[in-house]
Amino acid sequence: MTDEGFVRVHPVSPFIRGGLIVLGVVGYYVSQQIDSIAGAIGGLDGGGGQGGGGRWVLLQGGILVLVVLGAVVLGLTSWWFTRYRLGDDSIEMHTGALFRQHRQVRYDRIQAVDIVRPLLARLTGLSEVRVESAGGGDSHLSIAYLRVADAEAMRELLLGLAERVGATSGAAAPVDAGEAVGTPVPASQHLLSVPPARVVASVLLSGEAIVIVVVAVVAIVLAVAGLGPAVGGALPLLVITAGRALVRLTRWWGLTVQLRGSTLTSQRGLTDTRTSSVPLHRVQAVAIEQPWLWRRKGWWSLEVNVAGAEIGSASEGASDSELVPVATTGEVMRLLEVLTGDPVTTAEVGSLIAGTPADFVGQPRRARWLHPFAHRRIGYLAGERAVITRGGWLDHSIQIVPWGRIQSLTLAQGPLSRRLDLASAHFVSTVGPVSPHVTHLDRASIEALRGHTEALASRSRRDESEGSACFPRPDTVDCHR
Amino acid sequence: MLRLQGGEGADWQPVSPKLARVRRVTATATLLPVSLALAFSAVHLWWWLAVGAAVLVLLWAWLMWLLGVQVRAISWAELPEELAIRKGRVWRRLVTIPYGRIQYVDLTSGPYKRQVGLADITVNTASPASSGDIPGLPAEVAEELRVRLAARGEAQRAGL
Repeated sequence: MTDEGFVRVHPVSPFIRGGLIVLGVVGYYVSQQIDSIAGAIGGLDGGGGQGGGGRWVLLQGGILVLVVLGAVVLGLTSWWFTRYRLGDDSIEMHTGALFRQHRQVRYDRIQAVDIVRPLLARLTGLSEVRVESAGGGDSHLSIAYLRVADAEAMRELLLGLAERVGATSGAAAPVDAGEAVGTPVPASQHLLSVPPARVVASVLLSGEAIVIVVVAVVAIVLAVAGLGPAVGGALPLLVITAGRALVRLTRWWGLTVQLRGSTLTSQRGLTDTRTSSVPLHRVQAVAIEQPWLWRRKGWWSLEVNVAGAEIGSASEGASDSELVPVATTGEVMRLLEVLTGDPVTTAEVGSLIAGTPADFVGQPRRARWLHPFAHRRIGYLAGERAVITRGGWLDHSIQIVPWGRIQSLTLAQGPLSRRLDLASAHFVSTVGPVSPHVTHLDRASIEALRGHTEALASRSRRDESEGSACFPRPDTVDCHR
Repeated sequence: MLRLQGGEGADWQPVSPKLARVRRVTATATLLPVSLALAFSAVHLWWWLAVGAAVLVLLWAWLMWLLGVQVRAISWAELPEELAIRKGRVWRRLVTIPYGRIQYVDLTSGPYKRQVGLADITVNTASPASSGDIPGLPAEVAEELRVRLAARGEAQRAGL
């Protein structure tokens, strides 16, 4: 094992990681012993008249100092053995003094590079760089912590390396890390920023807010009716709902989305700042949703399926699939244009939002009583580059999958559907929140959709594999003509 | 045009009728000991356990019929661009998987299936929700199909 080129992280790092615990212990001790410490100091000044109590406190203080020293030594040891290196084709990381761990992520396997700044790191001006690679669960490599500027530079560097290696399609071309520093980072294009007021409003106009209001009204009525003690029963519900609203608020505070090259980066968070990036060519499917309270405002939330993103992993990963919590229709259209790299698809989605275009295939009349409310909304539009499905009665939703990104297609027909000559279709995408489907359409139109999928999916795929890199690149116009 | 039912649109291949036999034997092997135990108890302990035994026998008879129907309803076809699998008579499903989306192909065979010369093929895409499995192919057909699918997947492979 060569130690050549390995760099250590910022020396304060382990203390920030364990910092809260140390602070807590010290704080607790001080708050408990503040009187006796003051007394002991006073007693020493006074010439050690009642030395017994003072000595006891000193002993305790000594133990505390020892514990803190021990923690410092442990922290420094852990810092000493935590080293990373940008190698020829991968980033490597050594951790652990006794149980050594060596983790490395190849540049061409990098899915995203995030910057995470917990509260304590933020106060000390440090950041964690997190390198996500494909693979389920714990597949990230975290460099914690670096100075903010260094972390930013590291992120740019890694993204540049990943893109360059990706561009040469992993042809084992070793990339000189030093050379990559010189490559200009593509200028970032600002896509949208969500004003805090809108995040607050979106939370106020959400289901959680309604629950809170209803519970509050019920509680007041109960209190007036003289059933005060019963109000307590609503408390857990209230706390949970308010907590969820609060989490949403802090998580999405000050969200800005930018486009750098072919990577979408977003920055957000009130207490913990988080910068994350999604390479556009990894986006497999997009969904936009509009809860009914947002309809008047014209707001949408936007979710994506990203290939290689956490499969059945922690909640942190699950929240990452939501790209934008609330955006106006115009902003959503702009984002869609970037995500799909295609104005035609975006225009088609726009026409679906505005009304029902002529080539939209909806449910036949005989399916009406199966979906009395959403009847007019369910259906699909076989677009030029993507299939767009629509559904939902109160909460409108639209899903977009490019033809070439459909993993497989499932048609299904139950006994009832068979009697009515209806069928349903599921477009299977990669793991994620978006699962486009249409239910109870005319069987013939579903079968036509399948034929369409077969013809178009293979065409898009061929375009893609011919090296024109057609679909995913946002800068390519005029793709298969 | 490919249909949810009917022979037109593609060269539909049935799976081996031996699969019904395998499934019947497996079902019998599970149900038989239980119903025997119930019958024994009915004779020697509580007579009303005979009801349970009767229900099990009925269930067995129904399964014997159902498994045959199910197996006959499974068919698959190799289209120019896709693999198509049909299943079910009452709840019909048609799954199509483009060759270019195939990540890897599994070929499995349990001891009993191996003995009667059958194997199962599972086609995996980047999504675990793609249920591309063809049960009960004759072993040599399965092996040929696996090789063909892998080759086609490689040829039409597109970046994920």
